[in-house]
Amino acid sequence: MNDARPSNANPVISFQGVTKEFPGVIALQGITFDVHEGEFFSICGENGAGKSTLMKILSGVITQYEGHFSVRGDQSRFSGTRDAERAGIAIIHQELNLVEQLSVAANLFLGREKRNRWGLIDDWAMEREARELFGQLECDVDPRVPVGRLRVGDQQLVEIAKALSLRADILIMDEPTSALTESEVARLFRVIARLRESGVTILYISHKMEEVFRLSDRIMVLRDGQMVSLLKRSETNAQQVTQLMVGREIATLDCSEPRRPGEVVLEVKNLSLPWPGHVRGWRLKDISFALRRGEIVGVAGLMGAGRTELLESLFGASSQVPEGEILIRGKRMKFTHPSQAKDAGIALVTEDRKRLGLFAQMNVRENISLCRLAKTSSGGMIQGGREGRMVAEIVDQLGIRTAGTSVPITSLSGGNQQKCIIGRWLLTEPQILLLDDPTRGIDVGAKAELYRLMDRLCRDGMAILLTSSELPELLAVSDRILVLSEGRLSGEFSRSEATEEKILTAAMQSVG
Amino acid sequence: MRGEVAEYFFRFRNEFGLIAAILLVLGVTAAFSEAYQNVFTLELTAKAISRDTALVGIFALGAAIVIIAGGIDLSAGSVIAFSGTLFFGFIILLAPDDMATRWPGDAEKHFPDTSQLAWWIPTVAFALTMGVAFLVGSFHAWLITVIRLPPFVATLASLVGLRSLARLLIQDITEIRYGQRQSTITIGDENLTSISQSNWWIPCVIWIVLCILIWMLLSRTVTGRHLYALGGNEQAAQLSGIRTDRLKWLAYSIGAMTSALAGVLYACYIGTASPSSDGMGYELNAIAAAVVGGCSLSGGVGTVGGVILGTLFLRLVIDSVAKLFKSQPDLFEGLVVGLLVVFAVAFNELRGAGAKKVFFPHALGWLSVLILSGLLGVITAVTSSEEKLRSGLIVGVVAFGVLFSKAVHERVQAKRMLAS
Repeated sequence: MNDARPSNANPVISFQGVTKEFPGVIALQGITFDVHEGEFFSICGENGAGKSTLMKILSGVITQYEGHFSVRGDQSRFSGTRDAERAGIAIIHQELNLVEQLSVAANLFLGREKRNRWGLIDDWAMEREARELFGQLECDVDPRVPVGRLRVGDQQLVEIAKALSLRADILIMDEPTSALTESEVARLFRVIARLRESGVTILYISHKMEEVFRLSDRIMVLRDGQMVSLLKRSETNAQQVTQLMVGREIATLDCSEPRRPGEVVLEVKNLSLPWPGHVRGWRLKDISFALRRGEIVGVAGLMGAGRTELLESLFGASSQVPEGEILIRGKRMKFTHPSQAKDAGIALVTEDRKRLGLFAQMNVRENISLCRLAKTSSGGMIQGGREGRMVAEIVDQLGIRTAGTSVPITSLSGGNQQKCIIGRWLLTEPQILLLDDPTRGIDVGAKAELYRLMDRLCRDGMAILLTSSELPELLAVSDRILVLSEGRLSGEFSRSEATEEKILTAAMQSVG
Repeated sequence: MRGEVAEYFFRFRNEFGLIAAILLVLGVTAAFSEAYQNVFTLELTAKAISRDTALVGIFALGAAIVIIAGGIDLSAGSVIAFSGTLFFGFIILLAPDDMATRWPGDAEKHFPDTSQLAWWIPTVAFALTMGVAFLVGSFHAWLITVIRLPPFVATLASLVGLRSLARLLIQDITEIRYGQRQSTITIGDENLTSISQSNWWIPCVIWIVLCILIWMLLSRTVTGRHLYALGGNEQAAQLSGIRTDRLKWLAYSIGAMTSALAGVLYACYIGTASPSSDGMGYELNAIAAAVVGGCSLSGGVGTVGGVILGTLFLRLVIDSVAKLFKSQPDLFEGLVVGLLVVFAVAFNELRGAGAKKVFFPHALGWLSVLILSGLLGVITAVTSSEEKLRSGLIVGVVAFGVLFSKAVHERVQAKRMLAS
C-alpha cells in the first residue's frame, strides 16, 4: 500500500492542547496532533483511554473543554453536532443511530427529506439518490427495505452512505467492525479504500490490530487520557502498539500444558429450532455435539449462522421451543425458562451486555449477587453481610477493578462490567458455562485476562461453550471448534487441525 | 467520613428535598392560615390530613410497586369503586333481616339490618372483597404476561370496565335485598363508619403497617431485589433466571389489593358505596404520589420512603391551598396535583442543568411565555376571593413581562455566544 502518501503542509485537523476533565477524572490531557488530508489515522487505546471523548469533541457532542482545535485551518468551537456536520465531519458510532422501522432511504435523508413541488415527501427521488450512493460504494442494498431487516454490516453501510450524502470529507469510525463478519469487514475495507481515493480523511478507532495495520498511515496511541505515541505504520508493528496501549507486556494465553477433558456433561442430539414465517423454516437444524468437563468448545459462524440461538436454546431462553434432545450428565432435560437451566448448573453470559446483561440502575454488588441471592437468603430475606462477603470474594477472585461494590455498575469500564456479569454466574457454581461473544467491545488487556480466566475455570473442571466474532480468539482458546452455517453444523475441528481458512470455508459453505 | 455522609445525602437527595418542601409548605401555611394557629382547629386539621394522606398512601404504595416493576396500573380508581361496592354488597347480603321493616311491594320480605353488625359479617365481606381484588390483579397479570397486552391497555380496560360492572352489580344486589334497583348502598353500623370522625387513626395505622411491610419487601427481600431488576432491565432479569411473569403477577396483585383496601376504607369513611363517583380519577393521584416521590416511570427506581413523602407532600399542598384560599380542597386537587407533578419531575430533570439552560427556544418558546403567563393569571383569578379579573390581569401581565424579558435575554446570550 501507499505509505509515502503526499501529505499537505496544511493539516485538515489540528488539535492543540485539548484537555477535558470530568468530575474526578481527567479524560484527556493536553492532546496535540495533526491529521492530514486523505489520511487514514488510527487511534488506539484501552477502554477509558480517552478515544471516545476525543472523537466526541471533534464531532461536537462534547462542547465544554480546554484548549482548541482547528478544521482546515479554521479555529473551531462546535456548539453541537450540526456544526460538526457543517464542517464536513461525520461520525459512525459503535451503536448505530438508525430508525429500524423506517426504510433505508428514509433513514439516509432523516431530518432533510426531499420534497416534491406540493411539499410532500418524495420517496422516489430519495430512493433514486440512495441507489446512486450505494452504487458509488459498489454495494447492493435495497433502499426500500426497513433498516431493521438488514444485517448489521448493511446497516453500517447505510450510516456510511448517510455520511457521503452529507458530503462529509472527514469520517470518524468508532469500532466499526465489532459486529461484522469477516466478509463484511473485507467489504468495509474496500469501501474505505474507495473513500480515500476520493480524498476522504478517516479517523479510525479500533481494538483490532489487524484492521489498524491494514490501512493506517499513522497510529496514535492513547493511554489514560495522554498521547503516548504517534507512529508511522511502516515503522511499527502490532506488538509494539499493543504494548504501548497497555503499558505492559500482555501474556498471551499459555497453553503449554494441554487441558485434559473429562466425562461428557452436555450432549445435544438433533437439536432444531423452528423459525416460523421464514423461508428456511429453521434457525437451527439437526445439531449434535458433546461437551466435556474441562474443555472449551468454540462455536464459529458468520453473523446469522445461529451461534446465539444455539446457546439460547441450551439455556431455555429461545423464542421457540427447540426440538431434539438435550442431555445434561446423561439426563434428558427440557428447559422452558432460564431458571430451570440455572438450576441444572448452566450459566449464560449474553452477547449484548448493555441490553441483556446489565442492570444500569443497580450498583456493582447488586449486579453481581443477583443470580445467587435466592440461595443465600434465609426465608426470602437478603442477608446483607453474606451478600457482601460473597461479592467481595468474587470481585477479588476475578480482579474486578472498581472503587468499592456500592458504586454504579455504569461507572466501570466495559471489561470490568463483563467480569461482573461472569462473576454473577460463577456464583451460581455452574458446571456448564455458555459465553456468547464475551470479549466484544472490551480492550486488549481485559481480553487477555478473560482468556486466562476461562483457562483456569476449565482446569478446575468447568465445561465452556464459547462463541466469538473473532476467529483468532476462538483458535487461541478452544480445544475444539464447531462451525455453524445457516443453522447447520458444517464442520468440527480439533485444536491441532483448525486453521482460519478451514473454519471460514466451513462457515461459508452452503449446507441447506 | 465526609464522603460517606455526602454519598448518603446524594442517595436520598429526593427524600431530603421532599422533607424540605414539606417543611416549607407547613411553615408558609402556619404563618398565614388561622387553622394552624388555634390548638383546636390545628388538631382537627392534623387528623384530617393524616387520614386523607393514609387513604391515598395505601394505594399509592401499590401503584409504586407496579411502577418500580416497570409497569403501570391505571385501574386503581375503578378498583376502589368496585371493592367498596362489593364490600357493602356482601355486608347487606349477609346481614340479618330487620323484622321491623317490610318491603313496600312484598310484605313477606324485610330490609337488611345494618345498624349493628355482628363482627363476622364485615370480616367475611372484607375477606371476600380482598379475594376478588386478588383475582382482578391476577387477571391483569394474565392479560399482560400471557396475552401480551401492554400494561397500559390491560389496566385501562379495567379502569373503564370495572366501574361499569360495579354500577350494574349494585343494581342487582340492591334488588335482592331492597326489592328495588338502587345505585348506592348505605350502611348504618357505627363501628364501620367511625373512621370518618373518632377513629381517624385506623387508616393511619393500616397505612403505617403496610409501609413497613412493603419497605421490607422492596429493600430486604430477594423478591424485592428481583422487582427492581425486572423494572430496570426485563430481558436481562429473565436471562438471569428470574421468573419475571410471577413477579408481575405479584406486583399487579399488590396493586389491586391495596386499591381494594383503600376502597373498603373509603366506603366506610363515607358510609355509602356509590360506584358511579367513588374513587373517580384516584389512580392518577396514586401515580402522581409515586412520581413526586421519585419513582421513575421507566421502572427500576423508587423507594417506599420517597412514596410516603410524596403522598404526604401532595396532600399537604392541596390542604394548604384550600386553607389559604378558604375553599373546598377537592376543587384544588387536580390543579395542585398537576402542577406539582410537572414541578417535581422537571426539578429532577433540570437538576444539574445549570444557569445556562435555555427555557424558551424557537417559536415554541414564545408561545410558552404566553401560555405560562396566561396560566398564572387564570390561576390567580380563580383563587382570589375578590377583584378576580383585576388581580388575574395584574399577575398575568407581570408574569408575561418577566418571562418575555427572560426569553429576550436568552436570545441575546445566544447571539453573544455565537459572536465570541
